[in-house]
Amino acid sequence: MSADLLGIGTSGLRAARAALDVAGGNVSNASTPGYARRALVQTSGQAGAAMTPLSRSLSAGGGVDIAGVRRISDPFRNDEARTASGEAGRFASLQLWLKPLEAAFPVGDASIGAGIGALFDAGSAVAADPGALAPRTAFLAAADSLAGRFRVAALKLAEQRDGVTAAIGTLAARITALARSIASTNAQARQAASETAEAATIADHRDALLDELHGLVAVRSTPAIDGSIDVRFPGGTALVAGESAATVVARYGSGGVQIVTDPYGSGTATQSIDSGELAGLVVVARRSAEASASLDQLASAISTALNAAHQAGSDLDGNPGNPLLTGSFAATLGAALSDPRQVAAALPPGPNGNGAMLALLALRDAGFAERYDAEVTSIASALASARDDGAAASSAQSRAIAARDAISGVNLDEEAADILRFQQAYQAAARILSTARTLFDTLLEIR
Amino acid sequence: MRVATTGSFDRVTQSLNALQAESDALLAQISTGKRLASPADAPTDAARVSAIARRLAEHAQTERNINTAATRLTLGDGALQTAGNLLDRAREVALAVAGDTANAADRTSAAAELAQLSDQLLAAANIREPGGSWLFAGISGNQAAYARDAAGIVSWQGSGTPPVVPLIDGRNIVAAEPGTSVFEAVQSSRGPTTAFGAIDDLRAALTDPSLGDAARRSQIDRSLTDIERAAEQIGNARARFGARLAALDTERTALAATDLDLTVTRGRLEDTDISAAAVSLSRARLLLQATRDAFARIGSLSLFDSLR
Repeated sequence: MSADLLGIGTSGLRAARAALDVAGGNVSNASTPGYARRALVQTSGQAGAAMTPLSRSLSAGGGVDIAGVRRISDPFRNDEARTASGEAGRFASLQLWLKPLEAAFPVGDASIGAGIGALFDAGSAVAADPGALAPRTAFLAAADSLAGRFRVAALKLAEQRDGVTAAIGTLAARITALARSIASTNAQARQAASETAEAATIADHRDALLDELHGLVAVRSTPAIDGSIDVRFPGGTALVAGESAATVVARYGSGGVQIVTDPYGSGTATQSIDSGELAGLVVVARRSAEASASLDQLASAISTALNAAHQAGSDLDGNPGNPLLTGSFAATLGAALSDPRQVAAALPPGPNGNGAMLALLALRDAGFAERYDAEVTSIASALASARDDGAAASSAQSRAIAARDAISGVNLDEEAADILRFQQAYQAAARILSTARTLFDTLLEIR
Repeated sequence: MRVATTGSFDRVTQSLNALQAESDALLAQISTGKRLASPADAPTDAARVSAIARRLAEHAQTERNINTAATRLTLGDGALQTAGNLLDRAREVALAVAGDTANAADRTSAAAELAQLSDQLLAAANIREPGGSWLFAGISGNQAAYARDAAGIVSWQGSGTPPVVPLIDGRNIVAAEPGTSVFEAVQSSRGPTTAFGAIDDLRAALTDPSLGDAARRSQIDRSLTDIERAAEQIGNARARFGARLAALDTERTALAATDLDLTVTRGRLEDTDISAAAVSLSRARLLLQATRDAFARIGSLSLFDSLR
């Protein structure tokens, strides 16, 4: 009987000790990504099956058994938190990359719209006194300044586009790396026994990977019966299937950027990537390509219209007007003239009067500056709604993460209480052992 | 609900960041005086602000053009006044020697003065504006309006009508007139003549030795009428110049009123409401401080402190 009490006490000691280990692990991993708090699974020990039937009372308990370590995690809450992270990630990257796009279009006195207005104002001064050289010089300077603004904007847009392209490439590489890591955790998960610390550690690792992946790109992960997890894009293309992972790259074509899996094999284009940082970047890439195109169109329209009007005139020496601007893209726009006498203000045959300049001034109503403003407004509105939606998405993310952590997060006070509890249990189990020894001694002292 | 300890730290960090960002933005609004740091802060307002800024710049240029036109008109008016005075003086000179008491020497000196007056009139008609263009040369601002040929006849060298000065919204103003409508087409009994022609005729009458007293008398009388008509025509032109100057004043006043409206609207759109921003800033700072204090208290509480 006393030997059996020793066994019970020992099992209690072991269980309390294991529970303390689990609590300690919870405390130390409180801020580890993917970590879900763990609990010791205990079952009451079986009575019977003892070595000495003579000393056994079948009605007594049989101590405590450690059944395993349970990882406390709710897949549904995890999915919700990941979906919310994907949304928040999309708006975060939208904001991050729309900002330089917005900044590529200068506003205020330095804006292209103000430059267009200034060119017409300078033209108006030429028309007011067509014989004077000073207003003509100012007019050419205004044309040069306008062309310069176009070139600077084109340069900034190109920088922004390069940045977006690089970021998309980095993300695609990161997604590929995550997919590979998830595939290798799948292999480990298939071999690990359930409810072991090993299985829990694999699951922690995989959850951290999945959390990050969902923040980057819209995917759906489905647990399989063998403990592995399949990850697919919304259109059904597999990213991780069992132990194999797809390679993800970005391809640029006439239709803009496409995210392609298995680029060296069948090259499947993914469909409807509508969440995650990558989704935001894809939108910005499209948006900045549109912005570039629209700036180029504006540059070409202005240069065509101004040149036509200017070439219809005659300069101060009675020569036919030359083009005012060179180049037909924003990046190549330049002022063609430097001699103020070459400003063709007069109607042919010239050289007097301001008929041609008055015709050029009528182009003020062609709406070039308004087109520029509309482009700025459209980008600014996109950024403004990304901010508003981003704030909403980020608080939704906080709520979803809080809900997830309500299940699987570590609360230090709770762990401190547990530690206290298991410490006491340990002391009590030790007392059982000393009681058993006393009983045993009593027995030995019988003469 | 269970609360994960890291989660509550994260949330505090987030709200501290948000409050700090808010007070930074408010501080920037107050120090720059501008409500909009970038168009995204209020996209449609920003678009209106740039349209207004363009319109204001256009107004400023229009005001400069009004000044150019006003300078031109004032210069032209001054030249016409001079021309009027010169013609008056020519009449006085003629009247002084028209009577029977004047002898040949008087007429010779009068003729000399008339020659000088004619040159002065030519100079007045050839007035140039600051940019260098001849004001009365019509469209041909790059050459003198009038020139005297070898035979002593003064004739107009210009062509067409002077260039209009653009104002705003496609409106223009005529800020000069061709010399032909000012100094010429004087209806004389000998057919149309010019102000120069009238003086030159007078001078010819005084210096022609072949003329008898009666013939000279009648030629002087005719020239006096011509000079009077020329002066009248110049007076009419001055009235037209004056009316244009008045129209420019009206235009300038209207622009100034619109400028004021536009500036006020722009201010409402883009300027910081300083008092409101200051109140928001104090609020954000207070919240920031309160969050810090509360977190310092709550965050320092832990059951682990009680474990000994």
